[in-house]
Amino acid sequence: MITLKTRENPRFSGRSGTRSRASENRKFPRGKDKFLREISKGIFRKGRNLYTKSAAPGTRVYDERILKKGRSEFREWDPRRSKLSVAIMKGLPKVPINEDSVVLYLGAANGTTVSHVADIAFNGRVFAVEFSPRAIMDLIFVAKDRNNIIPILESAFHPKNYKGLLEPVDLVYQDVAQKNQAEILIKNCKAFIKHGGYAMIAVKARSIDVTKKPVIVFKEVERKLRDEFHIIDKRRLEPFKKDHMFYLLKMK
Amino acid sequence: MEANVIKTFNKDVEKAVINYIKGEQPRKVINQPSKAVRSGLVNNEKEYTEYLNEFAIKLVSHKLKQSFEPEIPVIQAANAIEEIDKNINILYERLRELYTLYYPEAVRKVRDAKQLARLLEDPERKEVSKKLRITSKSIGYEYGKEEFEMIEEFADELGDLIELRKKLEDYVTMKMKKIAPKLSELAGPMLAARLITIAGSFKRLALMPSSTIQVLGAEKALFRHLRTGAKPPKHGIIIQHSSIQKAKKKDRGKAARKLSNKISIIVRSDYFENP
Repeated sequence: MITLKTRENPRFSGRSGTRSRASENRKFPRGKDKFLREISKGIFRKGRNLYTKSAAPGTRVYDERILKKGRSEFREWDPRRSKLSVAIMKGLPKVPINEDSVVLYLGAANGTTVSHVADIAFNGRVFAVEFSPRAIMDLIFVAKDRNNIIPILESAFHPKNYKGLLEPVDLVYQDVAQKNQAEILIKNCKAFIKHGGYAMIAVKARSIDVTKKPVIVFKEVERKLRDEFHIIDKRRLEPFKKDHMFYLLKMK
Repeated sequence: MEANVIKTFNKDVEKAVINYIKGEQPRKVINQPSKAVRSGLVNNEKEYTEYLNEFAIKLVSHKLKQSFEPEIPVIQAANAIEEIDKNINILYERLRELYTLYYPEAVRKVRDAKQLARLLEDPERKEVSKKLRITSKSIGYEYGKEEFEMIEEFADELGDLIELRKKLEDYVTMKMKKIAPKLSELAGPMLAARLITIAGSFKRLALMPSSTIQVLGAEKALFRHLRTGAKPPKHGIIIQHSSIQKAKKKDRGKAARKLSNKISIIVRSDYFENP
């Protein structure tokens, strides 16, 4: 268990040792927050780490570290496991999720990022679409602990197959690493998004075309996205993810 | 109170899932929270979320049961064989090294792991020398009783591992002959299992073009070729097949191409005849 360090705590005073490590990661902004501070609805930061308030205290999803504060638990949001975490750490200007959000999450996989999104939107619903039977077996156990996750075993390329379960959503989050991932996002947004809703997409250049340079792939993807969305923000996910670009979009 | 709600759900949800799969349930009620509340299915939005969560988990579990394919455990077994092979090699080398220090003359005569494991059932020099008919005096170190016990245990484990590998191989062979009889005949059951493993599933292998089958297992070389324009790989895992092994080096590309052509035809016939 990790105890919160306070200013009075003598362990906290010496920080000379951290300096050299900081300069190695200069591209990566180090948070100045010494205490848990809410940087966006439901997302907390302490030092370099991000946390979400656990909706299912006492359980872990992927052996993440847990910070206890009073009765509540804060789960560390590991940037090596979650692209959304990296994007927020690298300074995404806005995370359009709040406690009542209804989110459509495409490419839910084993439910690591999904669990954090569900923590943030604890009063809303997270529709988690995943096509791999193996991955969804893990996801089911996450959904049993957090009853705002709705697992769906379908291909994200065919939104009509899960239309019967979905209501209009506030946000579409997509992380599928498919060749046609831009088309998949557009298709789903057209089918489900509310007026003025947001979309987030993590583009993996290497799954779209290994032979082209990532920058060129990103340009092509952007051209497709511009037809349907305003691009609010884009961020490379280095050093945690190679050749990835994260887009924050708003429906036109 | 809360547990009560979930209990009453349980019965209804089961029914609703079955209806949903049949396509009978008016689907609109499920996908609109306000309507669901008005229709009396649930009392409020929080309950609606819980209901939907239950419903979706049941639906997914139902679909998961149906998504089982007979090759899924075979793929795991084929992967296990590969891993066990690596382990056998490492342990065999270590045991050789360990025993060489005691009796180098004997180890020089040992050819493979199985032989060594059987030989060291009793690791003392006089027994081993009898089995291998060595007459000269050994130049090795002297080991004590504790060392013999340890070596015996080690050899025992190695022998068990070799046996496990054999059992897994028998299982894969038997299963592959059932799942893909013609492919097993053409490529051999073990190579057939490896092909399916790399492709991901029987279905995916059946839908692959033969050019892809030809370079399955040579992804590193293939992508190096695509990225930098280096020479393309001639063959992937199918190089294990005897017809390619036998071919001259300059004919291997041709042999690989022809074999993969035949494999792609036969795997389709296997898959689509009894999917």
